Amino acid sequence: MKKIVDIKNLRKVFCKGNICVANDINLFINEGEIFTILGKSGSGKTTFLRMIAGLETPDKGQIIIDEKEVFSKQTNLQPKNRGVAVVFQNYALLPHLSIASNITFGSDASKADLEEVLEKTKLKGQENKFPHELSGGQQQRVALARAIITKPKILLLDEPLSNIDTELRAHLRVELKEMIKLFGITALFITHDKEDAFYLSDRIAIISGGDILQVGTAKDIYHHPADLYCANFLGKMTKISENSYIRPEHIQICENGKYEAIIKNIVFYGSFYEVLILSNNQELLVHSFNDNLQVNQTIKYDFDGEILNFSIY
Amino acid sequence: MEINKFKYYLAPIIGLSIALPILSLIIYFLIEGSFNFNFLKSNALIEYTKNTSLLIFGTFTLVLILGTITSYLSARFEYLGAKFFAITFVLPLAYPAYILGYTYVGFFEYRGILSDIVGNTGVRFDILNMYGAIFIFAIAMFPYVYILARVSFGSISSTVCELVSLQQINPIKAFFRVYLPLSYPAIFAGSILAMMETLSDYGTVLYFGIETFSVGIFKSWFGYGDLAQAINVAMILLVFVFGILWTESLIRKKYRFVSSTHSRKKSPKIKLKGKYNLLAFVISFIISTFTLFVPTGVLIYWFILDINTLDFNTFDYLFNTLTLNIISSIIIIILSFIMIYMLRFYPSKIGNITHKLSILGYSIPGAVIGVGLLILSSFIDKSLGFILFSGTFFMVIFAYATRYFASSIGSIENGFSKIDTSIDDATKIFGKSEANNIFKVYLPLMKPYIISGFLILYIDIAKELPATLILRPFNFDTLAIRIYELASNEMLYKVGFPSLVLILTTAIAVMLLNSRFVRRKI
Repeated sequence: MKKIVDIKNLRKVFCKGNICVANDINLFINEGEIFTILGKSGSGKTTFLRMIAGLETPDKGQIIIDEKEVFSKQTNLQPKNRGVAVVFQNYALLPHLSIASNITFGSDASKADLEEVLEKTKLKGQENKFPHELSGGQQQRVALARAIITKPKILLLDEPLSNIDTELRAHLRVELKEMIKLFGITALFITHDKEDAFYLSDRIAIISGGDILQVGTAKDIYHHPADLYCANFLGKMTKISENSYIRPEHIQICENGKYEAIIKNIVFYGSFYEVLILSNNQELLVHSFNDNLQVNQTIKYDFDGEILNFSIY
Repeated sequence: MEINKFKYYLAPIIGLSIALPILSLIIYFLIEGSFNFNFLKSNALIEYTKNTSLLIFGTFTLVLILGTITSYLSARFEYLGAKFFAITFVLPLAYPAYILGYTYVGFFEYRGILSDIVGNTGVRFDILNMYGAIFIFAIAMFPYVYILARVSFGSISSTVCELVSLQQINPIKAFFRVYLPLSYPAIFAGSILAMMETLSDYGTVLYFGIETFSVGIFKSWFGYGDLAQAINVAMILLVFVFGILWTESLIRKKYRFVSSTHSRKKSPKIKLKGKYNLLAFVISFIISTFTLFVPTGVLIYWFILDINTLDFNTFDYLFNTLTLNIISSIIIIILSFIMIYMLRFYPSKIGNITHKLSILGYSIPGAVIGVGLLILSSFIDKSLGFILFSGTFFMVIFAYATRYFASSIGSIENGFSKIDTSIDDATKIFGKSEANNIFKVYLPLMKPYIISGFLILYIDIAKELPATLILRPFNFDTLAIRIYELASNEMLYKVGFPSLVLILTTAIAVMLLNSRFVRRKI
């Protein structure tokens, strides 16, 4: 498969506070792939995106986009010459321009291109309106259309779903994926939200302190996290022995379970209960759908076998 | 590459140029002038210091009281005529202090308007003294406090107000213990602005016979032709100014916490009923009577008295005022825009330093800037061997730029701070030319802030007297100069017509600015 983005030994240290935001990063993104950088705030993910876009200059390393070197010791192409487009967190729409003018602002697109993009992004009929007249979802589509119309080699999305309430967010997530796949564009998505990452991505890289800790598909990194940090970041778990951990969904409360425990606490999460049980002086978190559980009740439980083992802490 | 390098120097060049009159005064003083220590012991200096101190302290106290009362009423309560008074409280800003001074002298003098009203020629009040001057400055300057404190009182978080009502704290205690301390920074900022304007005044203090530093500068130079003495007075006045600025920075530091208690979610205004409604109305009416109705009434009365002998040259002065004012305001706004734009995209340490230098002018009296510019221009003209700058419009516009750069840069900076940095990133990604970005992105986004900056400049420049008086080209009179000359020649009733014309233009600007204030809550 063709690599659209190839990053080698990318390094960036912010002088102020001597913070390393990219520590010799090596990564590649395949053509047509939605690749996500997942990390907490301050982990270096936004700086990583800005370095690819040319908005931030790395200290060293190499960035290749569609077989063209855009950054190296000798080269540092301007953002406009890199073949990238960005959808910003707040969309960065120009409030004084109509939707059509916003979409074509960064390109020399023909009327036919505009018509096509308007059609595909379901913005037909909205082209003469202004950004403030559109809903949050429509504004996101305008930002996406403005990026896509430039026919970028790679589309960079800087947390476009943050600061949006939960219900709308789920809807926009679906729409965003549909659009990107419809246009067949390669995309790099930056987020701190694992649900967004799991839903949208073909592959995910977990970043912390400027280090890429693990790269893989959503299932890979969830079920086989590289280390304790990744495991904790992706979901809750409880320690069962020195180096072994188990996620709550891999323990089942059942009448014919092998082990016995007492319920210490129950938290209702709507679609399931998170139950804290005590078994042989060992506290365990369990997910259950049973409405009849009571605190101090004695129950039986069993494991389904998936245990996470880490040798390094 | 060379052009890009130049862009980094553009903001420092502008900043330094704007501060040049002040810097040249200080440099001249350090190199050429020696400080006359005998002058420190002179009666004149003691008199200037005593009078200036008393005047600014009195004005500070009175504007603080007037500004706080009016802004609190306007921001927190609904009462009879509240909307009307919200406008009348801000309108005195359209009046130069010296015009207010002339009107009150005309009102209270022997055989003045008051004696006509009561029908007794013997009724008179002598207000041509320190207390009279303080009163005039207070009514002219209190809108500075009103405008800033109204926003501050109005944006106190609704949760703070809810807490006050839940705890059943009585209204007087709530005002002094909660609302007033939360608005101290705005009240002090407005009061200090009023102090600066008072320090800068020349027309009013001269007319009232109060010998302040400003009068001292004029007297030393134009009265006795003593430049060294004028510079000495200007330097002592600068010490005064820096003292006030230092006090302001201390106050600002002390009340840094306040911003955390202000929010966009405002608490609704309290609807006053019965005697409280009437009380609020009476207080507002009395304040507006003294600050607006009486001066306007006097001007209209004089206008009517003068109606058969109106000086239609006034429209020439109006044309001069408008031309000079609009050209100056446009130049200053363009320079401010370029400076802030360059600092945003091509930042440098020297740029930040010169930015601070460029806004010094707001605290430096017009007379001091005038003297600084005269030193600068005579140095340049002497070096060139012919007159290039002295007595030209360039000098007047330069003085306005130095004096009022802070006002316009404040608006432009405020506007740029509202533009998210992602817009900057987007323009870089799209890779259009810088000119395209400026004209298609930044100027349209900045339009309201450019307009408000222009209006503020317009009002300030239209009222300006001392620098215009020193630097104007020969035979070039503005409305402000004409009004000053008429009053100096004791032709008070003749002041009515040009004053009303001047105030009409500034009042329109104040109203436009006020409406923007309400809409955008700057």
